[in-house]
Amino acid sequence: MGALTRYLEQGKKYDEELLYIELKSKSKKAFEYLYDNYSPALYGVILNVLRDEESSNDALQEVFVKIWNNFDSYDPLKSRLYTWMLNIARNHAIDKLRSKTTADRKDLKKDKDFVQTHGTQPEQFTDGIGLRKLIDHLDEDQKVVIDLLYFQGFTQVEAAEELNIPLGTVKSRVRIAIHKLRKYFV
Amino acid sequence: MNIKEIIESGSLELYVMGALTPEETKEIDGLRKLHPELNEEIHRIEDAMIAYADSHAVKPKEELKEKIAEKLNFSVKLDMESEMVDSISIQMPGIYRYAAAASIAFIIALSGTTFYFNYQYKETSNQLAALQSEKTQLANQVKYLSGESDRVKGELAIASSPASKKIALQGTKVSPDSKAVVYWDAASHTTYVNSTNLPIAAADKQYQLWAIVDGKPVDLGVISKDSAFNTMKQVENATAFAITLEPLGGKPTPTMEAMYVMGGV
Repeated sequence: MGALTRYLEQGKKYDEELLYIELKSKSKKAFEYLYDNYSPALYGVILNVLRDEESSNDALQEVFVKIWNNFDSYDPLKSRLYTWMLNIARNHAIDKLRSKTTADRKDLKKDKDFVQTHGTQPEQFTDGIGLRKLIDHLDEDQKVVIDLLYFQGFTQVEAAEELNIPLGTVKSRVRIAIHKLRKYFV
Repeated sequence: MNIKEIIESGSLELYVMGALTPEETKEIDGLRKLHPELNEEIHRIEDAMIAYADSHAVKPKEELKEKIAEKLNFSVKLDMESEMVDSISIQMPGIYRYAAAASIAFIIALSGTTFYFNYQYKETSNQLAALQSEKTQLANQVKYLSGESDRVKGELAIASSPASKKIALQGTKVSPDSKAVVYWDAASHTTYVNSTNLPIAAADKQYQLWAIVDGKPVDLGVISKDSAFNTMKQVENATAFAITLEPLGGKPTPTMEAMYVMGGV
């Protein structure tokens, strides 16, 4: 527990290597740290996929159980811990979405505004607010592609069909969008 | 496809987002092990996606934390305060009473030791796991640093080779403070460019190197946005070199108004 406690006392933001070691030990403290620092992002991803608060609450619980119990399968050489957790959240939410409704995806579009409205509630995670504005730097076209691929689990082929654009355009829009994000965020 | 083309294709972005087919994913899994620059690019894309996810963060309701905690198994440190014995009071005569008390004491002692060793064992294996992961991280750092050192050695070898001609490119009116250096290998005709002293290009722009041959510009390729020292295309009989700022991926002909540096051979 020592390393993490020291770290927390210093008031620094997350450090993946320490968290990794602490998670290996499965201590309650590691969970609390994990939850306090990562649950808003994981929950945000889940909400964006499922667009329903109740099933998102269930999904968040299932995702934490998965992260906790499958931690040994995390490979530090393959991705950052954060990415690994985000992918678990995203994939779980997408699986849930697909098993819940076999109805076509067009239903989802009706809920397009869900995220925006939800985002203005007081529950909004404060760290996210400043960043949210930065997303406005993306063109609508670019946002749509990223949302389809990332939050709705479309393959690039599906996204191309959905938007009626060539496959190459999907790729180039994603690349330009992420380049923009890199410029503002990283 | 070479590394640069892969980086510029948009496939890595899709890879990080999990939107590639399993075969394509496997291919990149393999390539990133061989090419550290690919790996670095992937990390940078990951960071962007992390930031993107962060920007959508929503704080879950307070009560969910407790609910989740109830579902998880935590490693516990055992407190050896056993009170169960106090409640055992049996009426027994003489020696049996002592024998019973002794047995109970023995059992308590035994289970205490077992718990203790079990706890010690868990602690030790946790420490071992922590050390192993530290070891892996250190090994990765060593690997990364030796890669870096190889790269620097390679650059130095090119810069100091007697076959290399060094051409200093000076800033133009567009950007008087810019500088760049081209190394041109007289034997292999390969060109290398060091672009450290160019302004950082906007996200949708990229520098492109040109050689002037017979008075006409010849495309020597775009300069990677992620490393300052780049191996470019081969060229013979160049009389000058120039760098322009072009849209991502470069253009077939240079944009003259966006020429940042140039220098004669």
